Amino acid sequence: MSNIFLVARHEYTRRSQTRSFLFATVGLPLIMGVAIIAIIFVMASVTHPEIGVVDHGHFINPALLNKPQKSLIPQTEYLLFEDLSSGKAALETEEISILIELPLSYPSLEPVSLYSRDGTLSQEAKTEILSFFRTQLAQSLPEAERQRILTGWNITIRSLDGSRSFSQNETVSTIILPYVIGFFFFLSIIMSSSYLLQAVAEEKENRTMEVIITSLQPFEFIMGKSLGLLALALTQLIIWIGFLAGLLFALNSSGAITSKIALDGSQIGILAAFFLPSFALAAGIMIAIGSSVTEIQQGQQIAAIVNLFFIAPWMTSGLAFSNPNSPLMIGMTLFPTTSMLTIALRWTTIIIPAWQIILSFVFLCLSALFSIWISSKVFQLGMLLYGNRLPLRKVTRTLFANRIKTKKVVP
Amino acid sequence: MSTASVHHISKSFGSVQAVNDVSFKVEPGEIFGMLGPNGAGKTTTIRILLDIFRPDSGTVDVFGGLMNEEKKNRIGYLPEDRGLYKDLKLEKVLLYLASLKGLNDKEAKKRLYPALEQFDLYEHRLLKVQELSKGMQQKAQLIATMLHDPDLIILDEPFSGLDPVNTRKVKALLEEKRSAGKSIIMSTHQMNQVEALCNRIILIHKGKGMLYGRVREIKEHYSGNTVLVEGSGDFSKIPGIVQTKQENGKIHLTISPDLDPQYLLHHLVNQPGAEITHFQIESLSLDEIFIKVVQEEAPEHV
Repeated sequence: MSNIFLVARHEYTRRSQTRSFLFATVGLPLIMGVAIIAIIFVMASVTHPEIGVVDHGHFINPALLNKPQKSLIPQTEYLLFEDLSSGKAALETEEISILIELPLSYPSLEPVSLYSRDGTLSQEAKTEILSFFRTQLAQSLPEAERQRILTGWNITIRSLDGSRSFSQNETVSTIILPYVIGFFFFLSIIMSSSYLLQAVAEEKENRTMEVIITSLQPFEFIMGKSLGLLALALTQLIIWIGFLAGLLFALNSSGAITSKIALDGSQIGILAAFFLPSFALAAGIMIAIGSSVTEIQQGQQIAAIVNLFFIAPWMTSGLAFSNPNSPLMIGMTLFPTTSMLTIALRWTTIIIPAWQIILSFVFLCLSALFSIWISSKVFQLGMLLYGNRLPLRKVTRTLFANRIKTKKVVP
Repeated sequence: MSTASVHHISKSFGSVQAVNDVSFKVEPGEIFGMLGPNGAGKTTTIRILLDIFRPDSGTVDVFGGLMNEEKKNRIGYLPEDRGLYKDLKLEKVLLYLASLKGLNDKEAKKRLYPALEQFDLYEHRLLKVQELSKGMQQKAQLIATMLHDPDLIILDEPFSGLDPVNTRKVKALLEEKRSAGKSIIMSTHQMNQVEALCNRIILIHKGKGMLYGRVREIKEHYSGNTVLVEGSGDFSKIPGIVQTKQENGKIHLTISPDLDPQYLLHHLVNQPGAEITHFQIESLSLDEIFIKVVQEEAPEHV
């Protein structure tokens, strides 16, 4: 069996059985899910007004009154009454909370009477009654006009140069989802690279490094660890995305959200293409840190500072929404550690020019290769320095010296 | 064919010359001792042998050629700075390390359980490593080193942390491995263990090989200048005796290098009025030879 696979399997099974991983992967989404379900139940338990209608002129189409229940959240129920006295009696016995009396001449301009038990009308009830009249009045219109009246407007604002557009109904499908998925990708990179830092530093702390590297090559060791931890992060990511999809599906089915959910394949594809080199870049940095330090805690402190370079787009997200074409945003798009998240953020408001994405990808790939190269050198230097920090000066000196000595390799 | 041949290797780290022109061979069926004071270059030499470090000059042959990944599976190494995964169960750690040496799970388990029983660790196999005592961890590391039945076993201070009972078990195991034709390189400061176990040794000091050869021959080489005599008589006037020292009724005679001890014995026995009850050519212990060589600092091949 390949040594890389053995190390990857060991790393994956070892970390995936830890309490912290199980809690972060399954526990957190479960807690969030329970919280969301609780909110839906609370919403469902809120009593909606039951409205009575007295229609003297028989204008109302009973078929349009009560639509089939599609949502977990209860809808307003309408009851038709033959005369005003039976309607008022129902209001008094709290069978209904509002009574509408349509005059014989309706829809003429003769006033419509509204009765409520306490003489007040909530905003929710006003909206509901408005929707009731709109539905009933539009029933005789042609389908297209009827839909326009019933669904209201759908505004799409476009910039003059066509680079920005914002559609009211596309909020979830084209704006939030790429951002959320980009964020999930980013999160998995940060998480797996942080696991990697821990894994390398732990090998040093446990003093298992020397035995391991006499069994396999440093490359196999690092590759196995990286792949195992990447698989771990992807497992987490898949579970989270699965949970998110399930939640969106449940919310959609329950009627809690009404927007269509569709993914933009090209944007997701580009984010996926950025994923591996971003991971390699972060992994290289974390391996180098893990190999240089004496304790995990020390490594985590350095990693926290390095992580700022990765989460900088998150901290400047306000600018990404308000001024996505600012020089800072373009710079962060091109800068390897910030490119992926910045692109995801800017996509929420603009179409990013192709040259920026291509250049950003090239920079990212080059820096990822450089990061891996440096990390392999630092790993070789630092792996056996138990209890000693690897000084930066030694790293630079060795890297320089190696370049000179490469022609003198002993057979 | 030698199991390992080290030819004139040198290695420096910056301005520090860690290993300077060291050569030795390790043969099948022998325990080879690697001795030297702290910081002498023993660990660096072992790391070069294991291909962890590349030498600046010189070559290393293992199993008749350069080191490769396949040969790594024929080597068991117990480093001086050793440890196991503390948060994992003992059995899991040992199976993982065995898998990296090419053993499949089934075969590894088949070998592991008797080994654990041999070192009284079977009952503790499901405990986390951090829950084991230091001595138990040491025994576990020895199992990890030998579970894949390596042909070349390299042990750096194998007896540290072991009680006398387990020391005896490890010694018996090493002798058993030697009898099975395995080569063992043992780096230690415990000279009594070297004397008891090693066939040949190399003494490294300040990166240089100071002394190299068979233990018996080395001891013989460093003996012969002092003779222990029990009995009575006047020995001071015998030609060739440089110094006479009496201690607890025993007489230590330091003789000149050109005086044959056999001739001295003959002379003593035939001396009028002398009575000899015990005659022994005194030899230095390895400890004394170690100190003597380190202080003299002149490389010697025996």
